[in-house]
Amino acid sequence: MIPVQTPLRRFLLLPGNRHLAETLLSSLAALLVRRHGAMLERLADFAGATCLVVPQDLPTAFLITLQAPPLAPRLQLVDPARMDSAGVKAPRAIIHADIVTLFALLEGRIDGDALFFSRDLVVEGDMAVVVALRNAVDDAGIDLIADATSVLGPFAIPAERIGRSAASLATRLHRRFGTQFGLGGSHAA
Amino acid sequence: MSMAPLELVCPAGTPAALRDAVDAGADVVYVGFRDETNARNFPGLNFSRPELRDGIGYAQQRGREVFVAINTYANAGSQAAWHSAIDDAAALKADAVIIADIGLLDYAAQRHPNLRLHLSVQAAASHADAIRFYHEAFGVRRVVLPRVLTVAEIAQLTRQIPVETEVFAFGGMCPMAEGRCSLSSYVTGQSPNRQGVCSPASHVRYEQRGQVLVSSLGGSTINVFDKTEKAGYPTLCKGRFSVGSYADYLFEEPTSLSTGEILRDLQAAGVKALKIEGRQRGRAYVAEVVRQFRALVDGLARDETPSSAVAALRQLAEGQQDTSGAYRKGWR
Repeated sequence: MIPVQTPLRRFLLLPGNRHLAETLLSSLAALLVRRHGAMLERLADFAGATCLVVPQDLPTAFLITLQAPPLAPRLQLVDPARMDSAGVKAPRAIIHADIVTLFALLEGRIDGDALFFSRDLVVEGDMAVVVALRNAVDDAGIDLIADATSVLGPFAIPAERIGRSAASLATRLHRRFGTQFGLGGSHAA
Repeated sequence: MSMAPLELVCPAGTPAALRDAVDAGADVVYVGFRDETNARNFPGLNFSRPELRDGIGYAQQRGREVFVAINTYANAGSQAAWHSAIDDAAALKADAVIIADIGLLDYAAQRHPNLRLHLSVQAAASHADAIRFYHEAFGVRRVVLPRVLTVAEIAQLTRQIPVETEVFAFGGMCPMAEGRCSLSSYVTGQSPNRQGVCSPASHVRYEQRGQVLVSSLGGSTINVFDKTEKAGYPTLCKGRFSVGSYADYLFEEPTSLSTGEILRDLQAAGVKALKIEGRQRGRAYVAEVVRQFRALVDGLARDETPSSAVAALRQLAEGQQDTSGAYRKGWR
């Protein structure tokens, strides 16, 4: 087996970079909420609820704290093995899957129930939080590349094109090298 | 003489799913409001009034229809939410409302005489006398038949009644006690009949214990899946129960109803419309099921049953197992 460490995985393993990644993710979350505001309405009953999303092929996990609309969910990067010692409270729900699957779910391109039935997606804790999150993002019509590049004004279209090519390459590499890769991208639903 | 094409009635739990269902070939999309007035009252699911207005617009501009399910039973003394749902569905120009409660049918018939009424499967009307009553008393124009009848019984029934029939074509199975099943409420205090939710997500827990996955409902273990088994949602009817060292499904196995191979029989029986279950499912699932059924229904006109569509539907079935259920009653 080829020992592959992706740039993303290596980047996240450096403690100094976590803060930067967290800031970028929070900005992305705020951007998604600006572009897909109806999502918050579907989560309004769950303000304060926490959900830990664990990409099985990354060295870190995302702790999502839902907030009352119009506030965007808060995102923190956490080490799932050291949450107790870091003083992070147990989340109400936990979702585990590989990062490509998680991106596909976020974009509503894949059937989450089927993944759950086949055990490719593992959920624990309060299912009401998981179901509400799933329904909210499923309806939102998130397109990570289009959403992220939308802030680039006149450069949005070429940036989106480059982003899609990069995502396609990352997906091909992911399929070839399996879970050793920590890059996400398009996932055929 | 060629038979009228079967109408494809498809589920949507969100506006995105509605648009995907329409784009995939649904003739009709059925939806519910975001409250206890419909039998899929799940967290984060369903439509606000503005979303329904937009959804109806999207469908009707493309020549399709939207039905609104208001198919739970109203709470005695506090029917306001159900009355408001009927009033708003009418005001938003829904093509039909799907109702089970006899009082709500009366309300809709009195207040909105031009609103098309369909009898929900939750009313469990399975014989000609009952269906005729709903037609004569309230002007019901279509009945969604309970999943208890064989194709031959449906053929006989359609000849005896003055209304259209709609039958379930694909999706989750119930233990054939529609509108009368209280299994969920024994464990959680909530049922599809009153609160619009069977085995509510808030009462469901999954726990990985070593190599096995344990599912529970309201603190009661419903199933234990070993590493090689497909997981399932912990409804009591699909629980695996132990007697001594023997464990098996008591009511029914996790499996989906599928009529892909008997559509011609259903059409010949006089069925008007096919209902796909699954408003709680994601839009990727909805779009794929609708696409496959569109291919099957269009294939009927050419006297074809595309085997690829039947196979694709099997992959989409719960546990990748399907059954024709009571339509064939193979256990007899």
